[in-house]
Amino acid sequence: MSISSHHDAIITVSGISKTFPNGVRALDDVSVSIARQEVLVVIGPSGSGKSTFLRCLNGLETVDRGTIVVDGIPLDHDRSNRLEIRKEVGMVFQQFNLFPHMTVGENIDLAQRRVRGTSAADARTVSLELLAKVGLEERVDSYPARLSGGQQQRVAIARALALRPKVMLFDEATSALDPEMIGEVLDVMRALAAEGMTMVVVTHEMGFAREVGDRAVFIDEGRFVELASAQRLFDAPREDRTRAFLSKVL
Amino acid sequence: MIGPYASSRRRRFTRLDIALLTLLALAVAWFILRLYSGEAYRWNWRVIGRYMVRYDAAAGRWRANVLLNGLLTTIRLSLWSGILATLIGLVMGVVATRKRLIARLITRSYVEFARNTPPLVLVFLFYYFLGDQIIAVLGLEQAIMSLGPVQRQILTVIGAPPRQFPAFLSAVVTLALFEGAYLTEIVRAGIESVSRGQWEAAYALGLSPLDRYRFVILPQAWRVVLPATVGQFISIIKDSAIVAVISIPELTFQGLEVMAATYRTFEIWITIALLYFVLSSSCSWIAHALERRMAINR
Amino acid sequence: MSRNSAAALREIGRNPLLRVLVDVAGFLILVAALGALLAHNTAALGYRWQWHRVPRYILTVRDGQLHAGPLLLGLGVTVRIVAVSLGVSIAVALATALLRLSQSTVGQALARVYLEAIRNTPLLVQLFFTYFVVAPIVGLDGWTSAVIALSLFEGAYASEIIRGGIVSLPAGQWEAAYSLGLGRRDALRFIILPQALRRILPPLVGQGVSLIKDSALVSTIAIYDLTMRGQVIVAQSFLAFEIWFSVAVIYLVITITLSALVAVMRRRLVGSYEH
Repeated sequence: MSISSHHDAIITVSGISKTFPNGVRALDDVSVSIARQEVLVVIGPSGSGKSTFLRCLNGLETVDRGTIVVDGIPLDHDRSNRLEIRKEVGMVFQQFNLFPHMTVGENIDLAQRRVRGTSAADARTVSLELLAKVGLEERVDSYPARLSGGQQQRVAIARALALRPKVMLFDEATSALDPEMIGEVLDVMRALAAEGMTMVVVTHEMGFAREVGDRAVFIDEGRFVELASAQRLFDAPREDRTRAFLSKVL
Repeated sequence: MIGPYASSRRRRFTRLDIALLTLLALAVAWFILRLYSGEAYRWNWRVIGRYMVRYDAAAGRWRANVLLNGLLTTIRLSLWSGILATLIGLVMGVVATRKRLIARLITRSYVEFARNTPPLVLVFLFYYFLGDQIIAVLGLEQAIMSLGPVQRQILTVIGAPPRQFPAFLSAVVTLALFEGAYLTEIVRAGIESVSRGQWEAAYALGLSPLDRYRFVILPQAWRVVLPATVGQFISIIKDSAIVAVISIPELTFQGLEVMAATYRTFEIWITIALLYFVLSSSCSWIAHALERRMAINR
Repeated sequence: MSRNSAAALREIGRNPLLRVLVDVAGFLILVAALGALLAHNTAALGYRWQWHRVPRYILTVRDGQLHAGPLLLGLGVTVRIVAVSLGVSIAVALATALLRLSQSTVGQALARVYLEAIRNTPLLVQLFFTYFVVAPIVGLDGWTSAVIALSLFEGAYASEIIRGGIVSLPAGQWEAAYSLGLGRRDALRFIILPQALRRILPPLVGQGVSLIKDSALVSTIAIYDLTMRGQVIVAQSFLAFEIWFSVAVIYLVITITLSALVAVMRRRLVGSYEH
């Protein structure tokens, strides 16, 4: 297993392990460092620990052992560090998790106003900008329930971008979508990657992973089985388990 | 750290704990200070013991005194009205799920009337009606008085002494009538929880309406109904305190009596609250055990 | 049965409007029969029905002016006690729910002890405990004791409603809020509570109906509410049935109106957020 250490790493993960209270070992001594502007795709069978890994990166899960440093800030029990990191890291969920009682615009305004203390008018300007970026400017006053799944997920991306994060985490962002809507979401993600956003993407879309990913990692049973450039991992996997997995999904 | 539900797993000692502890200590200190300032209350717990059991010199043995008898009356009262309420609930609950409008009119009016009127008012209303009217019409009093000594003894053990029996009976019926409304809703919900397919299958097999209920619907509804029914029994124990207002000698009424006789206000109400607490919480402990057992057997 | 009448019956069975009419008529006959039975039984025992004496206990006309009768005055007391207790009980409930959801050990323990104590004893005993034990020590009057006992009782049940509403929200809502950098307090205030409120409000109003019913118990500690007024009138006038029926109807009008409101709210609020 090769861990390429970049000089300009924005996320450094060293030896993290996590066991759930029910005894399931979700992560087992995982280390990686992610460079600025890099896109790291994470693949693996369900229950392999992909989502847990991602959720550790912004502190939604706490680790039992090991350290995570994001943009120079250690992710530890210190509350203010945790909040600081969450401003730097945006997250997109499989189930969108839009706030159903708020309009699209209010969803995106919220963090700007509460976390950054931006004025209502300024927040809305930014929100409209972000909505334009995902092609949903005219839906600013709609409630999420009125949008299709694909539209909701694009709004969720816009919302995650509201604090101008340095890193974006995608947790199976297209898994809950009907097939005809997957494309529109992947397009937005592709555009983000092209802009140079640092991204960690857990996905089942292998074609997209190979195309957009700089590096790819295959996780199985909580361990990094193989970490390589995306092209190499998909075209010439070295580990048997990676090969077996890819032959099943490709 | 995620969400409040994580708290059941993760407990910490926070600044809130310190604040709450300080507040609690201050409240307790103030309470004690008030209790012993001025004319200090003189505790006398022996009174409670005396009113729980007394020594019968003539018979040469200990006998239950008013408080213990009150507790037993509360238990008997709850048991009988619980059984009667279950019967009412079973019949009305089944009727409530019928399609006919008249069936729903009858059950809805009963349920809404019983659930939207204060139990205390219902107790007064039913008590006058049942106590003065029905029991007199039925000639119950004479019937009881003409019983033999063994039958009287049985009546005393399972219900109340002959002289108090008519009042006891109307209290049982009164409680059953309004608890029955809650049980009706429980049974209705249980029956409605059985999926349509089960009805259709039973119908397709050519089962008679009664057999449909007996073999297909009620056994399945049972799982939903049983835990809720046990919970309602616990409510009956607590609600039975209300009949103290019509002088049924159950626990709360006896508390009022002993208070009037002894002025040991604090000891009495602490004791009575504790007795109810033990009774009710042991019942809910049994209910939980039952529920777990049913969950396992599923 | 002749062929004609059988056919007529089948006709009734088919016509939905007729069927409704027949059922309603049947129901009314049943109610009338019960009423007649009651009237007959009571009359047989020498009870004289005197409904005409009831209105004066609700409203009287003196010197050309309307005056509230004792029942209406009692209703006023009931409404005041319920209103104050409702406010206090919601505050108690919210605090208890938040304590139970907090990470504070002492907070959780306090909330648990409070809930168990309330849930495992009768309200009547709590009322007596407050009035006879706590009130003399702390120095409360009857009215305050009543409000405290009622608020603590309803607050325990309401706190479980509030907690249930909060816990029932999908975990993703918390996670999304945290991921956006919101703290716990902001997540509660802007994301969780507004959504939980829709789930909480209907059962909370239902708990308000219980509060109105339970408030009748304060008559046992000599508060002159609607029920107490009823007792006094019955003792003076021996109009037991008329007065208790009237009192029941007054309570029913209020509680059924609220229950109907709950039903409407359930339909309006519990749906999805579409505007």
